[in-house]
Amino acid sequence: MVTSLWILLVVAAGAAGAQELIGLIARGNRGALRSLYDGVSGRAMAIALRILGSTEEAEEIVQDTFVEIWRRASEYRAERGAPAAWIAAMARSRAIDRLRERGRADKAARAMASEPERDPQPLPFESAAQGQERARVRAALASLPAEQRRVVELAYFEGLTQTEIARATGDPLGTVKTRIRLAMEKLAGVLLETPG
Amino acid sequence: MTCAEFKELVGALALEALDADELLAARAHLAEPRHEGCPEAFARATATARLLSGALPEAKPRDRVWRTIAERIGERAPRRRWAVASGWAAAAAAAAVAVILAGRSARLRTELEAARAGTAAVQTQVASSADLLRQCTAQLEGAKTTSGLAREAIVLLERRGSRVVAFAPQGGVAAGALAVVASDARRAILLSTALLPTATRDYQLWIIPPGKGAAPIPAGLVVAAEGIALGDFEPKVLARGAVALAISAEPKGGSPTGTPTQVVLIAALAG
Repeated sequence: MVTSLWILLVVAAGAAGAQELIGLIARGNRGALRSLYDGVSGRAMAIALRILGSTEEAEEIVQDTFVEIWRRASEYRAERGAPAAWIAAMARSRAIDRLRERGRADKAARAMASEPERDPQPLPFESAAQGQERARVRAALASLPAEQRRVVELAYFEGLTQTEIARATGDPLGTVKTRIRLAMEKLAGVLLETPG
Repeated sequence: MTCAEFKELVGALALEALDADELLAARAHLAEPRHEGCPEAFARATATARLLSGALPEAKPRDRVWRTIAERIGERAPRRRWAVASGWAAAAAAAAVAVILAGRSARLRTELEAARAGTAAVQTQVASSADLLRQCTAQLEGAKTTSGLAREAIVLLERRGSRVVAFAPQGGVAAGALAVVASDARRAILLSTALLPTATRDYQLWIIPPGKGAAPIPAGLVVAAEGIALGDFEPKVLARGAVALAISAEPKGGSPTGTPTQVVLIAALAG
């Protein structure tokens, strides 16, 4: 009972609470895992769905991700970033693995044909902080030159490698590499050095 | 790969957008002991990439997703908490220890005590060498009755100057492994409880030779013995020199292209 109450308190405390939840999960607290799931599964689902384009597969990724968190929570280190971003990164890696297992034959064509309309709509319960973060990241992406933004989107949201991006866009591989490097340097400056 | 070359592609590395050869080379470079800011550049790029998921509106999984998770975590407790020193290599070593701990049994602990005397002369070059050696020896003892390779690994482990190196997981893969490496680095045997081949998947061994841009060389497949995965890195290839060892997940039979399909673990030998 005390633990449950504490979980509610740390969830209410926001991101720092999520780190505390992970500490509890590492000690085998299933209620903490449920609370963490309620708080961040939407972000993991969003990235998996964007990459895979299939609700069924994206949900399998979310399942696998949270089972892995249950087993590996003690490996989380706060210096690696906020829990939501860490968990989304785990889900994204799994989704990319799944995508690459499917085969690459039509992936590039699909990626080039797809546009952000596959993004889900914001959930009614999305918090103001989540909305602000989304706006900040989107603004950072929007600040990039269009060709740099496109290569980052193809790599991050579609799971393409540099070679696949070059093939899909028709640009030389060296150009793609340069665009990714410049884009990531600029994004780091905007996102890491500007208060969130 | 030089530090300058690494920094050119660190953004693509953080985005997981490198092709297999470049990925392997970048990981091998990162595992080297001396850098001109490469770990910091990688950390910065990774932190940036992780924030990008925040651009998407959240999507709620259906209720059945949590029910399935609850059922699955009911099957087993989380791995025991382990303490680590700071640092990427130490974390990788500890991850491997965690995998080994998961398979420990009372019988193995008993056998461990007997094995410890025979391994007193073995020296390792990793931070938690004593724990790694104890767990490695215990696991090998458990398999030696049925596996000639396990017996060879024990012999190698007991040889003066041999060391145990820990593999670092790549790309979010939840796996760990150790390798017993001879003092002259001409023999290396993999040990893992996580890399068991399946009906459709094999794990392949790779040796990364020295030299700028050198391509990884296939060095055999992982085999299973009593629930432990073992791999014998091809000695003839090792004899030509190696800066790192790697494991990739492959279709049954091994890489169809001659290059790693998905690198899951890597360990530096240099330094």
